[in-house]
Amino acid sequence: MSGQRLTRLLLLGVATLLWFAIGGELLCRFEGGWRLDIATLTGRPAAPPDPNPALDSERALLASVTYQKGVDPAWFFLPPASIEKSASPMLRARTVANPDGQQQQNYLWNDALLSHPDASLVTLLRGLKIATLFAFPSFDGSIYPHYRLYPDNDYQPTPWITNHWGWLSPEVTVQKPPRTIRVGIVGDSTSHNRYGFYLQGFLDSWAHAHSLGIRFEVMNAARQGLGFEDEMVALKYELGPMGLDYVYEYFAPGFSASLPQMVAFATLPPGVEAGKPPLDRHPGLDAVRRVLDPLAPVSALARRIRDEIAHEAPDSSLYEPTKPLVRLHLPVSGDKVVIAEVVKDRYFWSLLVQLSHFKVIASGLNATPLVSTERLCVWDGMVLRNGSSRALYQMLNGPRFWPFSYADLRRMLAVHNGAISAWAAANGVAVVDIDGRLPRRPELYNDPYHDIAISQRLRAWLIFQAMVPQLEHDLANRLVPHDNAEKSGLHPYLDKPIEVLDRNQWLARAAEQSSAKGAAVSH
Amino acid sequence: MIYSNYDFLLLLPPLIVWFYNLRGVFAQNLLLLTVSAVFLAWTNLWNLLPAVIVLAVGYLWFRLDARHRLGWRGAGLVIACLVLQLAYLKYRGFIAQTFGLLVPIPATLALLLPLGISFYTFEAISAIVDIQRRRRRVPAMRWALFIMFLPHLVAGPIVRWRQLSPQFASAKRFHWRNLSVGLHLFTVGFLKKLAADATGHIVDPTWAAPGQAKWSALLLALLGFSAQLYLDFSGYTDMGRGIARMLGYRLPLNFRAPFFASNPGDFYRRWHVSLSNWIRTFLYDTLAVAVSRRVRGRKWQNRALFAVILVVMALFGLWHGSAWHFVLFGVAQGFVIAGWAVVTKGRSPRSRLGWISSLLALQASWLFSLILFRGDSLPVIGQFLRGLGREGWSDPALRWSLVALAATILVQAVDYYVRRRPVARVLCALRGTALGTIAVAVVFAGALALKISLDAKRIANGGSGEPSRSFIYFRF
Repeated sequence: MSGQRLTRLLLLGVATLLWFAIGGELLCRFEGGWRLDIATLTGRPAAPPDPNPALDSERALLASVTYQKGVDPAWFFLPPASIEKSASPMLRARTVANPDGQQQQNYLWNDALLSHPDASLVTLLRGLKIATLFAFPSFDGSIYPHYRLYPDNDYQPTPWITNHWGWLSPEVTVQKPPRTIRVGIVGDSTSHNRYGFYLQGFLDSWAHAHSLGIRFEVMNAARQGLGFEDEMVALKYELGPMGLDYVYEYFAPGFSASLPQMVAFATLPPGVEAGKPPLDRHPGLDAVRRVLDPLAPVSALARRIRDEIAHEAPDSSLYEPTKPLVRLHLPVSGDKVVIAEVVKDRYFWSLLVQLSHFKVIASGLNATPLVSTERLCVWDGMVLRNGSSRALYQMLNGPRFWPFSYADLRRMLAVHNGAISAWAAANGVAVVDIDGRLPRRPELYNDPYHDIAISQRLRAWLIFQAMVPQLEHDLANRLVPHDNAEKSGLHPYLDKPIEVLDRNQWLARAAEQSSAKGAAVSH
Repeated sequence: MIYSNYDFLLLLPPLIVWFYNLRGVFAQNLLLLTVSAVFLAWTNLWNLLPAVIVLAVGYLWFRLDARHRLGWRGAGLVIACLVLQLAYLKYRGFIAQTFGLLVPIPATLALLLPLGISFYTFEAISAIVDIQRRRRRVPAMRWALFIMFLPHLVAGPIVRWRQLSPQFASAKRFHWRNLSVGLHLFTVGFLKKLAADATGHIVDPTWAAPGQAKWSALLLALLGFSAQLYLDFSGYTDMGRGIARMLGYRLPLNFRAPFFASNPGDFYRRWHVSLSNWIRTFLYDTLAVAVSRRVRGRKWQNRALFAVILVVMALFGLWHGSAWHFVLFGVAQGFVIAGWAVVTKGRSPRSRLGWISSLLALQASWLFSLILFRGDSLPVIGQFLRGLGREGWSDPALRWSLVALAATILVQAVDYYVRRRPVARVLCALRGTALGTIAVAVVFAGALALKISLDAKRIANGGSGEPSRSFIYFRF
């Protein structure tokens, strides 16, 4: 190769590099929303929000979950039921003082639990910046439910205010207005959201469209972290006196709440420890990141390359990492479950007992129970987008589920949901197939259990559709509304005054109890 | 990466400059092959795997056949392997749903529909048949480039071995005329893609939830989608042909004003010409000859040929996607082709009125088939069909889909009449001149500015940085 030609190619190479560097930088700045006229990366001013946000994607999702005849999809877009009141300033001040956490500073604690606290509760309450604790008298002397939500509290970030009994519902009176059907909801954090408001709106729209002359009141007594015992006591004592006609329970998160429970279904390969995923770091990539990190504040191109390498770019694909081969030994395979087969397993026996218990309590209240299949946001071969599903990815592939693959989790969930459906079929209980019907879209979830606002609304839409045939039957046969509300007009358990305790005194007493217990154990 | 993306627009000028600065055919071919591989792997590295398998299986067979004369049985085996790979990667979901046959797949490949797999698999099959017939030696580089050639890699046109491979035999030298004509084709395609995206934005919401739309909105959405499909796909092939021409290669026409066809046979000689030719050559002719030999009597032969058309068109539909609604689309088109032949007895319309009537009837049947094509599932198709009886007027935005359709017909009308020689000669002469090149460059700059302003607005509104929608035909 002649010297002249070599020089020409070298110059061409330099020019190409410059072309890609300058062009790439401009392109990354343009696509990333950075200003082009300032060296350091500065965001362009955002445009004012669109006054009419497009509902296209919502319409598409809605079309995929609408299946019931006589249901108009237009109702989906009507405003939900609402609660018009302002939050208590006293509670707001406590929230401002404790910005982190889940609003435990404003919980109403069960006084039986406060009398016999465990270490985790003491730790939690010691960490809060509050002078007083709120307590309510235990309904039946037990520690369940562990807590209630304080009335008129503003539960941010979802803007809602609890009603005067601490439910996530519009205001209701104990006395049942004429021609009113009441629907109760019990559950945990997966139901601790606004879907009760939407459900009431859908049911009222349906009743209005069919000129039924009835109205609905939906009372959502779900709250974060509740267990089955909490939920049943809440159903019996909190919702029971309201005269429920129907009660819906969402049994999440079931088997997936506990890694030991999942391990009980499996044989792990030698050397694999549940809950301990290997560190996913590559030294070569780390070195590239170290080079790019100092450039990232001034170069959108460097930032984009770094994010692509670390799978941190919004549109990076997150594939399931390689996992050890786990052998599952479930009582049955697939979702066609025979109760006699699964009941031999301890977990499924317990699940079926809980379902039966729920049915017994609901029947005791003269309310029709509705159960639901459980949604865990995981599917075999699922590829996630970094921008929308990073947290979901980290949770599914982190200690909480390690070493179970997406396929393993799906197989366990199939049997779990199959058991619920089989039990419901055998007991004549309606089942809302949340897992089967909700769109399989990971971006609808914050983590494997908790869905985002639009998905909660879709869930309400599914519950509503599942209720329609039951309602048509019951109304035609004049089985609802029941006249089963408390006649006195006062709630026998919730209309009691809230007890206010000095937190430091309570902590001191708890410490004494703890040391006395320790001494008794050592003796 | 797609042709209308900024990433690609950034890549193209250095590619052209380097291509013409390299000496020798090997260096030029190697550069093209490398850039094609990067293009394919840009969104997902795994896109390369099936293409590499096609290359390896094909080349291994050529070598073995040259040494041991494996003949048609060997070729059949290789073709079966390629079809199996296509079925495994593209149709396993369809097979699982239809036959309950679950095929295991690694997680990394589970949601991957490898880019362009249908196109390069069909090209490989046609090449294997052509090479087996002619007994030609196949150099590795030419085989690799034939499959991986950037301008036709992911969405055709599906070229034959004899059309493309000789072009890789010699080094290309720079000619202004190639650059000018190529830029002209690329600009036309770029404009079509912009129009297709805009039309998509208008009609997609109606297609997403047809159960709530009125009949007029549904009709407009259907017309709009017809325009969008044509603009999108013909735009892609125009851009591909333009890139090839800028580099000194020639790819065949894939669309010849299909909305001006007067019968179904004519339509498929104008719509996605390369796929239609492939289907006719490798499926229809083979089956038709086999059936004609086995079935006796004119009447029964006609019936058998009717069945062959339906089967071939069902496969044509299935090629577009692994779902039953695509099969129904193909079957509907099969009925149109066969029914048309029965009704008209193969005669062309004699009067202008007859020509217009057949044109309208053909378009009506095409639009009906597009409902089956575009509806995401059978329930959505049912909602769409039921909705056509729902009274009410459309959203004003949807009227733009009429504008899109009118523009599409105008583009095709120009395309149709430009082929009349005097006009064509003037235009061809003009686009090769400096003045023509400047005019095309100005139009391209204007189109690019329009795209940048639209994307800037969307990004400012919090939209994603993804500048363009994928081409519809990328899914196939």
